[in-house]
Amino acid sequence: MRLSGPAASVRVRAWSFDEFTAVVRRYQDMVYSLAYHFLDNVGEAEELAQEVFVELFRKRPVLESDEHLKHWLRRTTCHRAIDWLRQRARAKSVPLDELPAAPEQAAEQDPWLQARLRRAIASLPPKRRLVLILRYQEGLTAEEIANLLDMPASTIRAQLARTLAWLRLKLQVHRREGHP
Amino acid sequence: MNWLDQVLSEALQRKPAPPGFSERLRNRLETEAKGDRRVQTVPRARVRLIWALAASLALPAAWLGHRLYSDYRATQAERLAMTALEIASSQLTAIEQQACNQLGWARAVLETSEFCHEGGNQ
Repeated sequence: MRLSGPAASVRVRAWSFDEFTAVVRRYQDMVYSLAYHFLDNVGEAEELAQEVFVELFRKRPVLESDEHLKHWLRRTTCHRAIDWLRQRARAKSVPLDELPAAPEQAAEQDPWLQARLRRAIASLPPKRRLVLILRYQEGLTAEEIANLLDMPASTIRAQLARTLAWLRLKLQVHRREGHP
Repeated sequence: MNWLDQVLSEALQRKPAPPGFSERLRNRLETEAKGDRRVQTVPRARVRLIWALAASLALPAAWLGHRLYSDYRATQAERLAMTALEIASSQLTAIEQQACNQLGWARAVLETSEFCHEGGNQ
């Protein structure tokens, strides 16, 4: 199986381990980041990302291009992430204070602002959190996010606007307190 | 891009997957594939073996069972016939005995009457 750009149109029949590992290496950062930003937990994010790739390996979906594969991975990660959160809520609720910190922070970033932002994002409802992550991590448009989450684009735009307004309010307080 | 967009873009930028992610995934898939093969083959092999054993035992068992049943039926029939013969034989013996007794009595009566008849004449 070899997918190389939008022009390629190859139907996936079976993966060899080498081919599959190459695909995993190409998209692991994207899938892991989506999971990490959504779950805010390093271990769970890796586990979820592995589940997504295992599903790709087992189900062998019909994929016609790299874009299609990328779309499938984003979509499956989003749906599995929401399922994961439901299961976590049923099993045990993890207080935000117990969540592990982000593994690395850029030197120029304000750690207080990052921590506040992380808490604010983690407290968002799952779908709104996903919309925000897909918009700012993946740089997707409202139409693309709507296609991934099976929601109307107008709803996505409205949710995004509400979320940004809420975040602005939360972080304005932080800025007024004297942090840059 | 306003400051919030910038802050969000920085906070939500892609993070690299943990080192060894693809290797761990590959190990997991290979282990599961081996497990699946074992899960798929072992029970089928066991079921086939059990069926083969059952089939190989069923034919001799049926043949032996039929033979034992035939022997049993023959023995029962023989025993029944012997019993019938014994009953018939004992019945015949009794009839014979009865006939002999009756014959003896008849002869005695006849002799007695002849004796009386001769005595009366004299």
